[in-house]
Amino acid sequence: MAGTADLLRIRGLSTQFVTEEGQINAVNDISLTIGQGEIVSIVGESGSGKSVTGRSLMDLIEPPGTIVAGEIWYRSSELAATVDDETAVDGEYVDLRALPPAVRQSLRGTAFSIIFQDPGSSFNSSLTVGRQIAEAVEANRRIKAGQSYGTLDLLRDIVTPNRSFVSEESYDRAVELLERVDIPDPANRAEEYPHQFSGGMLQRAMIAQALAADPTFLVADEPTTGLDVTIQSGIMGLLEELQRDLDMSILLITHNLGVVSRLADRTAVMYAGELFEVGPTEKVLNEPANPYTKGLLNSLPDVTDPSAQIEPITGNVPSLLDHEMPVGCSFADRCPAATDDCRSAPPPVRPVNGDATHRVACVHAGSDGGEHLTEPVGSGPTVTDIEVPTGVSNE
Amino acid sequence: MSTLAEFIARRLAQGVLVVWGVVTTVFLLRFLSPTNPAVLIAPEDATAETIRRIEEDLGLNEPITVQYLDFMFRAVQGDLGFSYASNTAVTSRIIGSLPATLELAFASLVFAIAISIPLGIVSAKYRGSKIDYGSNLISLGGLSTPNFWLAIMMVLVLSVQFGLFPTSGRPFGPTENLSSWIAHMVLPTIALGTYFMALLFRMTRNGVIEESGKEYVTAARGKGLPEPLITYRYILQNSLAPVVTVAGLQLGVLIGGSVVVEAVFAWPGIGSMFIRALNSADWPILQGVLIVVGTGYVLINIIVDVINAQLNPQVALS
Amino acid sequence: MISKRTQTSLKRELRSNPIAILGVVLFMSLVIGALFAPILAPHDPTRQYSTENHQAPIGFGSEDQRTVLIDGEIQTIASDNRGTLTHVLGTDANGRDLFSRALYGARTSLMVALAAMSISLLLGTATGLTSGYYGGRTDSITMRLVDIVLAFPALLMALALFGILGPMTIWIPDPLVTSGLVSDRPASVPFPGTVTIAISSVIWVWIARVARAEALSVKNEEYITAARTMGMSDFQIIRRHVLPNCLTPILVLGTVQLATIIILESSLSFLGFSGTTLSLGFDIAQGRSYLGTSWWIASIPGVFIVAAVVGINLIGDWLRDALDPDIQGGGA
Repeated sequence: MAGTADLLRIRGLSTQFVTEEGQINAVNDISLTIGQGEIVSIVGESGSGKSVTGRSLMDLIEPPGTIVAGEIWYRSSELAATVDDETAVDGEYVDLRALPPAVRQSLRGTAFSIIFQDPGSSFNSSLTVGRQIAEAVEANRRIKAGQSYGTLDLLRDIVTPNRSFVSEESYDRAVELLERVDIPDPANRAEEYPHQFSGGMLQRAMIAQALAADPTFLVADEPTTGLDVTIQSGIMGLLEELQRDLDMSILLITHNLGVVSRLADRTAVMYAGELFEVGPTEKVLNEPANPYTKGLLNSLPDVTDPSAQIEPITGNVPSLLDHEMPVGCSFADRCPAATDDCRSAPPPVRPVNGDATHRVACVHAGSDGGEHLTEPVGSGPTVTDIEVPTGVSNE
Repeated sequence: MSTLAEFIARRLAQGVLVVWGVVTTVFLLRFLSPTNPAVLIAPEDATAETIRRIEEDLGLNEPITVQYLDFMFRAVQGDLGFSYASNTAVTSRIIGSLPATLELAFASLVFAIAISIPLGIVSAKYRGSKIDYGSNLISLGGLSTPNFWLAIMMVLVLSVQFGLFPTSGRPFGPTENLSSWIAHMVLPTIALGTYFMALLFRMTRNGVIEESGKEYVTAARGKGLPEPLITYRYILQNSLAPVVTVAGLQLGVLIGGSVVVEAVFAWPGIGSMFIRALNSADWPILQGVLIVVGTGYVLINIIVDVINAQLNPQVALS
Repeated sequence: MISKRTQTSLKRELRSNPIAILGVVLFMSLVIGALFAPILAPHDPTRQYSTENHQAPIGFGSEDQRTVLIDGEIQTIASDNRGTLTHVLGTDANGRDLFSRALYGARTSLMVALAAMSISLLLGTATGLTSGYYGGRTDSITMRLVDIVLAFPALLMALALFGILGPMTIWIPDPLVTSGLVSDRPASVPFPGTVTIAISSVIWVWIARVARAEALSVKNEEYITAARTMGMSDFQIIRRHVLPNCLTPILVLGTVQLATIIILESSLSFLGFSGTTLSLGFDIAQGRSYLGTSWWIASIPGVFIVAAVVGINLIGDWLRDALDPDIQGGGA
């Protein structure tokens, strides 16, 4: 999908964690584009690495985890103007990973925002909701103004806790944001603590907090999981509305295919840290090419045919430990269509039915016809549907 | 859902109950001994005449309930009895010795907190580093060393060997001769405060490590808050609650420790007075000190609970 | 009583944590030294070698001139207090061997610790479990009682009880001596009764609190209701279901309390309120007068205390890391 309207082009992203049992390859060589104003979803089971992907984009990976490889090309001419030629391309795209840490971090709370699965544990239980949203507003303001925060500021905030860090204006804006996400009686609710909010309300509050950043890019990590089904619809509607109004790009991380079909423009299917299939949502859901995707869809109950058999995918998610990862396709042990070819080498990435927008990593799927893609970077089955910005060569 | 005022009121009511229990227990203690209470109360070298007089003064021939009510009544009014050994009212003697002990206790507390909390944060953030390792070692030592022995070792090295600090005593108060007061305060403060410092260090370090891994900290970073603010308002504030609670409970150890430290340094506080009273069998003083200390402890713990409520409103309001 | 799973976690943690092994070594040294004190001690701890007093530990000391009064005359004689192998850790002002005294002192600490720990465990667990399980009135009253006891600093309470009850020293015949295994050692050892009672009276409440917390958290579990429906008596339920669950936190707390007890005992004997002079605290107090000259008299006993308590604390850390990383390192 070539296009000057791409916001993010992720290439070969790999994130690893070092644990007592060994090195875990949580994200293994992911390549993905996210267009301006587009909602892209990453679908997969728990442990497939989708959350880690989202956090890696936000630079929220803490030790013992590290992003070990890849580039995250972000389109921002302002940013490109401030860095030297090695990190910027076309005067438009900047590789986030090559930026100095301070600059990279300054994107959080300004252009990039994130909402989490469990709002109850994502809010500080000892501060009011209004104050926390106001903090986000204030952080946004300060970063944009280039204000630093040093020991002196910290001391001042410790000594005067009530008027610290947040100003009247930030707090007012926080109340406005609460109203924007349809929380009734926002002024009073802003003075309440997180535990006094219901699950759905708190998720709205978290969205309000994310909006404080005026984001161009939002990572939504399982935003509806854990909420009542009746509430989920409201949240989805809110996200739709906000995305439209603000022309935000959203990376929607979820295992709920219903949410995907409603919200996502494009969908990527992730398994054991790797992408198996990417394409426009209707194509992926209605004409799945990868056996894993097919398996996922088959395991859903069919509303129109209650007596139809539900076919679960047998077996368990494989280990992500580096020394235990298979050479070939990581789904081979559970795949009904697996052959020896699958296990000997990583599966190739090919278009489905000649459609370059819909690609699949599988020996048995995809057609050889049509344009061949650029070689996948790295050893895993990656779906490279990006066009690397000109000026950077392929390894 | 109750407000802060209701919370305080509730805790105060409970506290009064406990204080009543404290006074009652102290009253009942003397009956543990097989000897005549008058003999207990009289100084060791009292004559039979004195003992009879004491019996009458205290109404020891009255039924126990009357004695008890009389005791309570007087205690509430601040009259903690009369010390026959020293021929002064107990209350005035306690008031006289209290400031010196409070100085020591306060200084030790400040010493302990000032070192333990910053060190705990640094150790948690740089887990496994040399600073962390060294701090843990010191903390282990501090928890395992009896305060009187630490005091004596410090005197051995710093006073006797190098003559840096005086060995004992408190010749002047802070208002009379500040430098002398400070010089005499250093060793006792370190001796008294070290155990507490070690304990608080451990708890702070553990608390910060635990809180740092929680999702709301990641969320705070995600919204662009500066790191120092996150460390303070998000991590520290939430890790402090259990620290404050344990600190309050452990204050008893601090007060008990001051008895020993005062004995080593001949510090003229309540602790020294208590020991002297023990050696001369001056029971009224012992009673008085126990009541004052017990009541003080209850009060301090109420304050601790209020601080906790401020730090973590969820607990108080539920 | 200790489940297989617990044993595995303990062993695994021990292997990956060499410091814990150090703790076990230190503590076991204390225990063995204390148990076999009569055999391991090179001398009778009460015997005064008056010509060898103020002798330094091995590697220290010096030859010196001393001015003494002999037969009414002031004379200067040569004195040599360099350490010898006879008294490896030196002697005190009365010529008693410090190493032997340290071993017997450790024995006193251990006796008090074991006795006080047992009493506190029994009383605390019983009270806490009952209070937590039955709740209601019993619970409120018990908790108020606990609050009252907690209001008094342990040391103050112990001292006060000492003042009322006196030392109450119990002389226990030393089995190693009476059976003839060793000779030339004290035939019976003084057991400080009041100290033990006094310490127990303040330690049991910490155990009671933990036991109560466990009982409270387990009380409403379904298997308890099931057991009751099956007709199990309350006592059986507490014994079979509630008690095993609280073993782990009590075990961890127990190590902390053990350290506290040892320090309390030495503090009491330091202040002179013990009932026995064969105590590490007592020796330290003795040594205070000679800090400038015979500094070892006050230092050596303290090293033994620190080593023992460090060992106990390391074992406590080991238990905490292995059994429940959620428990914060705190408590009395």
